[in-house]
Amino acid sequence: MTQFSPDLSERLLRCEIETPALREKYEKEVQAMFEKRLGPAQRWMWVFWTLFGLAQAIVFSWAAVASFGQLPGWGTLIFAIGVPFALATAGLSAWIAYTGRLLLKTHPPAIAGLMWVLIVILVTIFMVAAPDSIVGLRMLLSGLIFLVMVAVFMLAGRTEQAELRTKEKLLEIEYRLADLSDRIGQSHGS
Amino acid sequence: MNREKESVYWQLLILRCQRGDAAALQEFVRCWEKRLFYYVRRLVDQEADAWDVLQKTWMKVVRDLKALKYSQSLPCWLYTVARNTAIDHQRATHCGPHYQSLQSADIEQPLCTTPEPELALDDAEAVHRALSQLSVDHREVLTLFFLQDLSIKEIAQIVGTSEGTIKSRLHYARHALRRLLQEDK
Repeated sequence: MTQFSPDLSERLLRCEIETPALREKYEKEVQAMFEKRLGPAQRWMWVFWTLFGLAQAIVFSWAAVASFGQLPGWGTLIFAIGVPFALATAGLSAWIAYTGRLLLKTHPPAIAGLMWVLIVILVTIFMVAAPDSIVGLRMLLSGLIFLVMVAVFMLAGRTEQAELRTKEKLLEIEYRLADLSDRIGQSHGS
Repeated sequence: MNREKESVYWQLLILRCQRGDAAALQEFVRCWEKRLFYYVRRLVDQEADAWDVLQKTWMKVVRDLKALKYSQSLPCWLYTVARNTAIDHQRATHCGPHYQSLQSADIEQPLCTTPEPELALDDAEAVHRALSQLSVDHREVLTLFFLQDLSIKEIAQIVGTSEGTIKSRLHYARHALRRLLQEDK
């Protein structure tokens, strides 16, 4: 038989001596797994995207105002919707450029979402600007192919996220129940 | 935390990691890094190598976390990934005695049937020192046994051997540990 108290593992862990320099190097490497440090050139690229986002916001605002009454209502609406998304692109890019860090778990999905909206708006522009000819039809079709591909991709991602969120809620309830039964058990024991 | 609550907690944390929650992932690493480091440190000679192995372990864990379905097997899975990474690291750097031992064939020693005298483990520092003097096979099973309170079946899964071999290794490892602790006194 081996007799060991439940906290033996904790006491053993405390006995492990770590070299601070090696620990620091490891922590930097682990941190690098979650975020990418940007070099000066990369930061300037994000500055460029910030300016691009701002320019987009100006163009979409102007297009929304100019197209009001000239185009079908949905065309104007999509241009107007494009403004906050362009500002969000500019905001996100400015934040990345300012901090010099790209969070690998959160930034790429956000950028993908914003790019999807940009594609929707570009397809709208194709639809509005397309000439009434076979060339115009081709422009529309190529735009629609991109739109459908990205929409399927985004939809699959959304469905997966919704499924995970439902599971998370159920697990939260299960955790609360386990916590409650644990507390009841402890109060009965005492 | 009882076993059921702990299991639900890990499931919840894994799910949040799978959803791309960076804070959950950092929490997950924080919760496991000390135990995994302790285990890996018992498998490799140099501390710098242990940190390298741990970092590579996290890279594999983060990459494969999406595919993990059953959190009941989470400790088993994590220790298995760490063990395989340590073996790969040893293979890439050198074929030292540790590597040879971790790769050793599944030789089951006969299990002694005489009852074991009690082994009191009050002095964690003495146990920690004694562990480093054991053979790597004995050290590994005892570390898993002490660290995580894993079952024989789970330890066998991690080490990739039969339950009988683990029982036998644990038996001889306890004997060796007792002898070392007595010498230490």
